[in-house]
Amino acid sequence: MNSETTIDTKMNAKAYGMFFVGWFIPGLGHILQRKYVKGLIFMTGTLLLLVLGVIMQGKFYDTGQMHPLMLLGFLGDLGSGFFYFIIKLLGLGKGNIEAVTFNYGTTYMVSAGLINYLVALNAADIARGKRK
Amino acid sequence: MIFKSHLISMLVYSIIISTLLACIKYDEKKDIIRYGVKLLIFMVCGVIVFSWLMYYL
Repeated sequence: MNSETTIDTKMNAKAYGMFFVGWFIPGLGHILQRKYVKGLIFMTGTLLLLVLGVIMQGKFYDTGQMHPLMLLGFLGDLGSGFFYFIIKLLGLGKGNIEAVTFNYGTTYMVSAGLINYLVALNAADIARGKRK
Repeated sequence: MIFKSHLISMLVYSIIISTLLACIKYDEKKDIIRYGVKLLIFMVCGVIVFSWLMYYL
């Protein structure tokens, strides 16, 4: 194995690591790479979407029915990483379909997860040297 | 329960999403602001136009 391959392997490992860290705690992938401002913006934005979603009585999609669209929604929700599990553990995110803001709340919550996937991919790109 | 107004819910949502997407796509402050404002205008105007269309159709 030559040195170039070793560097590539290390870079890839770092990129996967940053993707995982960035997914698990939104913005942390950037903060660890000294992109403090962006990291804080991503963390605050994701948290804000989740908190507003919960306050608006939105729900996390569940996998109970095994419906393909529900599964996609669940994958979107899962993008929030650590916060998804915390909200689930606290018993929030069950939603109230009678609330006027139910649909908006659900959209806020799934958007937080989807945006966080992009944030984590961005952190991986930075680790790979594709982005500044 | 907050944001009983659909318009305010949509505005807040658009502001947060456009800020995050702009920060993901660009690195320079000037580009981020320009792209963020453009996205915000598209999202807000798009929603208003489609809402009126759906109301009349």
